[in-house]
Formats: sequence, structure tokens, C-alpha cells
Amino acid sequence: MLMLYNKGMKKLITLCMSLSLLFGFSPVLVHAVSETKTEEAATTSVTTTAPEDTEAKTKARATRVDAYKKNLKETLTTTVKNRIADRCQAAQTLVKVKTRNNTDITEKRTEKYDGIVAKLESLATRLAGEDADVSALNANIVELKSKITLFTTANESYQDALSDLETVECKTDPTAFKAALEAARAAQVKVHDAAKEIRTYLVGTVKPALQAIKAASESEN
Amino acid sequence: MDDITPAKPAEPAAAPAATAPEPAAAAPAPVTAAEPTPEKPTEAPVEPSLAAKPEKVESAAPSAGDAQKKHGPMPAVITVVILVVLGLGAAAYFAFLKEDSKPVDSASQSELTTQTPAKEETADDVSGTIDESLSDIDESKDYDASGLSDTSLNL
Repeated sequence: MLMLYNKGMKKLITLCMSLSLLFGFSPVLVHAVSETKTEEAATTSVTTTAPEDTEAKTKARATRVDAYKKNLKETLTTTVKNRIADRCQAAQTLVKVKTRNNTDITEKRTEKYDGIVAKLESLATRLAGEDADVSALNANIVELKSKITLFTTANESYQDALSDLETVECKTDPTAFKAALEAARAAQVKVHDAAKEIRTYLVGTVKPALQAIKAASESEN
Repeated sequence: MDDITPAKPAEPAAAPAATAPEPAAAAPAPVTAAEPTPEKPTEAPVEPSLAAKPEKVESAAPSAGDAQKKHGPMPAVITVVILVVLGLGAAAYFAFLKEDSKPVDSASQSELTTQTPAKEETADDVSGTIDESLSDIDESKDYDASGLSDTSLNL
């Protein structure tokens, strides 16, 4: 009888223990498994994309540097090459800061431009709902967007040039450094001009259009 | 019913196993118990040696085991209860953790998307936004040509 009791209790206790362990650790296991899965997914995506990305980036960089070299109008003398080779690494440190600064500047500008476009579109939607003529305003928005796209493209080239200037093997290839520097300077001018054009358009065209809209709505009221 | 059938063969197997190591001692023991009482005082001095033998230990062991097994389930049940409570707590914790992390983003995003069209812009508002935005950014400073000059780069 004692043995029966023992056996039965043993089974019961074993069952209870297994169930409790299952209950107790299942959330932990589920959590751990889900974490592992996401990590695995992340690592697989990294492992699948990272080598391709770096390879593609290296290739693109090499192509760009070749293009910079072709566009370089002056032929460097040995004295200039030696001078650049001696000083370029310190210059690359300064360029690194410039690259980081430009990333922040780009972020800020993009935010501002997007904000303006969003406000203009919101106004156009509201006015369209009130049966007002918004064709001019819509045309302004389209024009502004195309100018912002030009700025973005120019800025991408500038950022690429800065990045190339920062990473090029300047000690062994001072010509590539000089060419990348010239390309960065040219790209900077283009970005500056694109940004200035947006400002000019906003101040000279969009704002007067807004004043006209305001005047029209006031005359209607 | 399943518990009864396997228990039966276990008992005879256990009994010989316990008596097997001391067959000589085990045999006289029942005799002493069954024999007439007058012999008992004469065999009294032998008993201490027998007392050390497993027969008596065997008889004492089940009672101790009974006591242990009677108290046995209680700690196990308590452990089970604690583990279940811990398990439920862990499950609740992870459930809340997931709820906290996920909906915040979607909620804030949906709030943003719903807020933007809800606000009615006027021409003055947009004009003010343009002025404000343009005053925050400066092309001549952001894209200063002198920043990439030979002098500034010490070339």
C-alpha cells in the first residue's frame, strides 16, 4: 500500500514538477527564442548585405576616384605630390569633421524643407476643399520639390566627395587626394547654389503667392 | 488499478534482497521470536548483536520512510506553487514588456499622421514657417568654401 502510494505520488509529483517547469520557463524560453530569432534575422541580413554593400561601396568609390582623376585639370609636380603626401593625413582628420558636420546640416535642412512642403500641401488641400483655385500653389509646390530634389542630389555628390577625400590612400596616391579635394570643392559650390536657389524661390515666388492667396481670401470675406 | 499490478512483484523481490546478506542471522531471529518465552532471558545477551543487524534496521526504516513520504508531498507542492507563480509572473512581465515596446511607436506615428491633416494651415502660417525655417539655415555658413581651402586644411 505504501509502495502504491509512493509510486502514485512519485508520478504525480513528477507530473507537477514537469508542468511547473514548463509553465515557469516557457515565457523565458519563448522570449529567448524570439530574441534569438530576431538576432538571427538581423545577423543574416547583415551577413547577406554587408559584404555586398562594402564591395559595392569600394567599387563605387574606386570608380568615383578614377573619375575625379580624369577631371583633374592640373598635373601635379613631384614637389606638390610630396607636400600632399606629407600633410594629407592631418587634412583627412579635418575632412572627417567636415563630413560629420555636413551630415547634421543635411538632416536639419531636409527637415526644414520637408516641413515647408508639408505646410504648403496642407494649405493647398484646405483651399481645394473650399473650392479655391490652387493650381498656382500646386505648381509652386511641384517646382519647390524639384529644387529640393536637385539640392539632395548635389548634396549626395558632395557627401560622397567628402567621404572619398577622407578615405583615399593619400600617402601612396596624392594625385587621388588632390582630385578628390577638387571634386569636393566643386560639389560644395553646387550644393550651395542649390540651397540658395531654394531660398530665392521661397522668398521670391512662394511667399508672394501666399500673400496673394491671403489677399484673395480676405477680399472674398 | 495499474498501480496495484506492478507493486505486487516488487514486494517479494524486496524481501529476499533484504534478508539475503544475513541468512543465518535471519533464520534464528524468527525462531527466537516464535520459541517459548523461558529461553528469552538466555538469549537476551545475543540480542544486542542482532540489533545491529539489518533485520531491525529494516523494521525501523519503513517507519522513518513513511514519515518522510507522508511529509514529502508538501514541500513538492509548495515548490510547484512557487514555480507556477514565478512562471505566471514572468509571462505577465514579458507580455507587458512587448505591449510597452510596440504600440508606443505605432501610436505616436498614428498620432502624428492624424494631427497633421487635422490642423488647418493658413497662408500666414505657411509664410511664417518659411521665414522661421530660412532663418534657421544659412547656406554661406553651411557650405563655406574656405572650409576646404588649402590654408584651412594645412596643405
